[in-house]
Amino acid sequence: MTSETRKDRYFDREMSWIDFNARVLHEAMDPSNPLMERLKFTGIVSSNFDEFFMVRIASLADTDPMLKEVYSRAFQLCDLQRDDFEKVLAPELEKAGLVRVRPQHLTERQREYLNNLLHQELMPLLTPIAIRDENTLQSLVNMSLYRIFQLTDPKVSGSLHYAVVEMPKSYSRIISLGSESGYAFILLEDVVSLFARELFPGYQILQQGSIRITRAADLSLDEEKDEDFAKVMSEALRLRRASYITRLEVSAPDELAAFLKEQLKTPDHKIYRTGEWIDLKSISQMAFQPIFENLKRPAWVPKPVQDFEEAEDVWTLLKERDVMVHQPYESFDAFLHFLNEAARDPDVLAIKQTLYRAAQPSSVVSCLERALENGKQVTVLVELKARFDEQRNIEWARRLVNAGATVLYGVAGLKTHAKACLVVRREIEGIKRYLHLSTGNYNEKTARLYTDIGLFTSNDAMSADVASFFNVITGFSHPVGFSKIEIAPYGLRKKIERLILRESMRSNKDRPGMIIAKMNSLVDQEVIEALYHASQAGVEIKLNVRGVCRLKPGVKGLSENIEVVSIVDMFLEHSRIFYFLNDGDEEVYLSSADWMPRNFDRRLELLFPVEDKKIKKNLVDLLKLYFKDNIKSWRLGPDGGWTKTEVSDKEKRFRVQEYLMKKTQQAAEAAPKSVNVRELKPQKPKMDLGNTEVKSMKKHLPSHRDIKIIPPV
Amino acid sequence: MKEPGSQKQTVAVIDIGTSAIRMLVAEITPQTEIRYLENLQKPVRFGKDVFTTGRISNTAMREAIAILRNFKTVTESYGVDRIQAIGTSAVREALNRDNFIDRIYVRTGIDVEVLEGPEENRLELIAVEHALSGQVDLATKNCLIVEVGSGSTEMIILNQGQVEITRTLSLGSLRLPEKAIPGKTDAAVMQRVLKRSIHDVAVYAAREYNLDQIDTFVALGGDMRFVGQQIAEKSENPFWTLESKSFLEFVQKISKMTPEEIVSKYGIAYAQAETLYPTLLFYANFLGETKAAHVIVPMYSIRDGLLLELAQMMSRYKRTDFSKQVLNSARHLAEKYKYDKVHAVCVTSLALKLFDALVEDHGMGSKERLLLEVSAILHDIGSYISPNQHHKHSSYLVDAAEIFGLRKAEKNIVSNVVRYHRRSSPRPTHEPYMSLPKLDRATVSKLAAILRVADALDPAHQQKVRTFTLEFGEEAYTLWVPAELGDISMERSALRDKGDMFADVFGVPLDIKQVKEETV
Repeated sequence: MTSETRKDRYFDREMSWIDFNARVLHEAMDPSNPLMERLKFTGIVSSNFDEFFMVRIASLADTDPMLKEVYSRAFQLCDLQRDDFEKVLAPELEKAGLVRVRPQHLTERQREYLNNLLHQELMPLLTPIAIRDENTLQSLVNMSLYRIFQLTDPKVSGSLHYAVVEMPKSYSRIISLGSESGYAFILLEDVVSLFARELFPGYQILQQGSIRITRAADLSLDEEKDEDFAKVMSEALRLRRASYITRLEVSAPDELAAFLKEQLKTPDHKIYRTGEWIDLKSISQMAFQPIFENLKRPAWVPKPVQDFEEAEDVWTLLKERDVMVHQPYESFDAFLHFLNEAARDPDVLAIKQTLYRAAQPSSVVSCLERALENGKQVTVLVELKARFDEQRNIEWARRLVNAGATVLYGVAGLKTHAKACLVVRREIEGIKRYLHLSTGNYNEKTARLYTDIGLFTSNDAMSADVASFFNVITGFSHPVGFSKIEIAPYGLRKKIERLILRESMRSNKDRPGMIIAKMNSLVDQEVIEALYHASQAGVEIKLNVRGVCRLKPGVKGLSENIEVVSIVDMFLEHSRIFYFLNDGDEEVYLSSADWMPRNFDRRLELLFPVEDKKIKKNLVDLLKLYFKDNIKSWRLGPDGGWTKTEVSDKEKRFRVQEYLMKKTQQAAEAAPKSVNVRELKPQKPKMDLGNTEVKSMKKHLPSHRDIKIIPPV
Repeated sequence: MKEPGSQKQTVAVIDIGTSAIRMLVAEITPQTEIRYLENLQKPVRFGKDVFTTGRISNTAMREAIAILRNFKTVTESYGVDRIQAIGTSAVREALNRDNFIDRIYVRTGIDVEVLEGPEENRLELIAVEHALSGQVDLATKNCLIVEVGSGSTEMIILNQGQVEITRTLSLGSLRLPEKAIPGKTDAAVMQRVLKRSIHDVAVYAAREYNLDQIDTFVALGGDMRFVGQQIAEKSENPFWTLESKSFLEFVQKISKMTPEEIVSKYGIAYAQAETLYPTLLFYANFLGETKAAHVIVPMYSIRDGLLLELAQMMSRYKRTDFSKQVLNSARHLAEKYKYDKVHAVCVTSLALKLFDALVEDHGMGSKERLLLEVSAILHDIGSYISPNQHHKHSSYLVDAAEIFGLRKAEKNIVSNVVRYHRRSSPRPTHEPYMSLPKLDRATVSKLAAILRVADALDPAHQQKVRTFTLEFGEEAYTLWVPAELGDISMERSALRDKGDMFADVFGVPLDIKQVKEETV
């Protein structure tokens, strides 16, 4: 296939990514969303673009003909965002009482307050740097906000000087001011601007503005070399500063902008002229403060997993059946509960776990530390290459090593993206292994924001596979073949292709095949070709792709039977679920991997089947629900355009995330109300027959374990 | 911390091979049930070192230690009760193997036992019998078992279930006959070269056993298991049965692929892909020497054999009795050298009788009894070379031969026992004897002392003395033989010659006396 025909068969990846941000921006602009939600969405757009310019743009060569087009589309969208913020969001926020106070409108008291603040706290953090040559600006720190000044020495007429001051990262950019009503704040750069004369004694300030530089940050570590990753990563963090500029954001008069362009030698298409609100990501942090609750959507509290709440102990439960957890509707606590049990259970021998992005502070890490204290063997695969999290990652790694864990930094050249936890327990019947596999990271913070599916199981074959998987990712063993799971970069791609091919082969006129797949991104050309082929074989294909989608749906002769929707709503759609009708013998898989070359070929990923009939059915139902959404759903057209699904007055409104929240809420309310057993139940020696805990006695086989005294928690 | 009365043990078996270190972790029961928990393998390149320089390089040693440490971590996560580690081909042949084993022990605490060819054969046979048990009756078959490794090839021939011949050939996928270089040599040339050398092996073996009689071809090894997965029907049993034709077609197909193509098509490691074709060609050529219409591929390996052996050791339940196979192999060897079978049988029986009677004096067990039995069968085979100094000939023939199921150390004992069945007793100047470990030297002396007496009782090879009673006197032991034997002066004289060692070893002289009519 020539590159020309290839281009016709797939949408452009960067453009599709920008389109995704247009859908997010749409949420920021949707007046039916609470104001604070819209602020969050605009913050997400900014954050996404920051990453876009740091990482994705870096993958395009400077000579790429698409490059200018990509910049122009991206900046168009940024214009839209900026205009919306300045003309709609900011005024609405102000109307609601959230007021940015300009230096000229400060009251005397506020001024006095800021003056004190400046001298007592801020001044030592401000370091003006004179711009003497080009190198000064070249060394500006990536993503830091700077104030730039044009100065003149009144004693030397016509003299021009330039200087920059970095806004200290350790200091909040939003400074609240006492106000009689609502919430008044001033931005840090305005404070600096207000007192700028004190920074440049003897000079007169002619012009000033704010700037921010974005640099290509794609880590180009030599991953082939088997080096000490922790060391390499720290170096990479330092090197990141020196990489080349991909975006220059300027909020300053033309003359200053021209000066910057010349000094930094940045071509026009990389310069973005913004208004008074630069870096909306940090502005949007206001939305997370505990103020103006009335402007937010009602907070969703993840519901406890009923099976876990009712179970006498997790091991007995998981020996009976598999348990699924649907985050964030259900709580990540289920996993912490599991891990906590494992950490203190005297029969548990070992815990093995991947940690890709943990929260800070992380309960997962604390649990593992406790397990170590209790003498368990703990093996943790800490991924040091999770983008932008390296600094944090290195810290846990050292903490766990100090506590005695076997900490591994992954296989050279491959990022570990799979999420798996394996617990080895010695029981009367012999060794028993318990698993938690998930589409989501072990991060209690994102577990409240991302939709993910977790699966607990004690299935023997799956346990053996996952044990082998750990041997592979720790570098202990080469892959020796799996019976249930598939892993990338080994058999996962082939498995997906085979499943799609099988569906094509089993599809016929009377019984057309069906594939439903939910993922974050669909980029891989080979898989897209397989899907085209399946569509041509009559397979009905329903894809739910939140972000980038290179597949062209609904093209006559190519992909008539494929539809693509994208749900952009309050929770980030993150789970990967794949369904194959398989001539009636339905199969459902969960995976950590999107259908992207990166995930198939350069990461350690997991794909695992769901075999529990009930869970399987739940997942199929869930997959289908997404296609009913007519409130937060977008449909991809054959031309690449995304159309928001409209709902007529006659139609019933259906918003899938809202529906799932309600459903989970109702289930939680219907559940038998009980005291929180986990916290209040005293753990007593179970051989004590005089105890009234007759109920619990019945479930317990007498074993050596029962005479161990577990101290009350 | 074991469950009281637990019937289960968690064990690990580690196999340090020529191109990979592999480990199985499993739960075993005395009923020889095996539940597999972990299966690990990590490639190493011992072959390149050992087959060119004769030594395992320092780099390779460090690599091996790092791998074994990781494996140890895995065993710890299961609270493994016992680790059984073996070294095969490359380790066995490395000149610095003792150093290698010691360094592994010091750094990892894992005690590696070097497995000799015959012992490897034994484990292979355990694996095969276990895989085929209840499905294929080996007792009615003439069977060739082959395992092609990287550095050596093991072959076992079973005639109606009895071990006839075992061989460890210095041929393997990394040790091809000259002229054949994997990946570089053209497939047709490789086929010619291999066919030739395997035919030579077959011709050589045919002097003892004609491969034409083989009706059952069993192929062990990872590459064959790979083939099984690719072309065999799903199997309910722990083995696959491949049509010879479809196996050969598959080999043909592989011959046309580059290692890169094999890797991308089958997703195996490059190193395995590189040697896949020569390995399969070995099997194909062995198959070609037989009349078997199928290739039986057990899903088990010698690691499974080790696990089974460990399980059997837990309870002695259904312990595979290998002494029979060992003796078969010894008899087969003796036949090759045209031994006086009747004399050997007679001496064997007398020697064992003495051994059993003297248990209190020698304190040896069933293993040594087996070695005595083997020695008695083989003591005169040196006469095939020349009756003169035949004890010495017997000794080196034993050294050179393979006896199924005997380790090197055990075979050394046999070789010394036959050496001392006549003439001189061991002396400090006898190097083969002095190089034995102290305990083994004692064993040799005791067994040789017994064998000499037994041999003295049949001096004319007429089997006059077939039974006796032993009287334990204070000053001397007395062999009482029946009066109807008539004149026993020859036996008495022979015993005078050869009984000296008995007196030295057991501290009492041995007399022979005839039971008088009246005392009966």
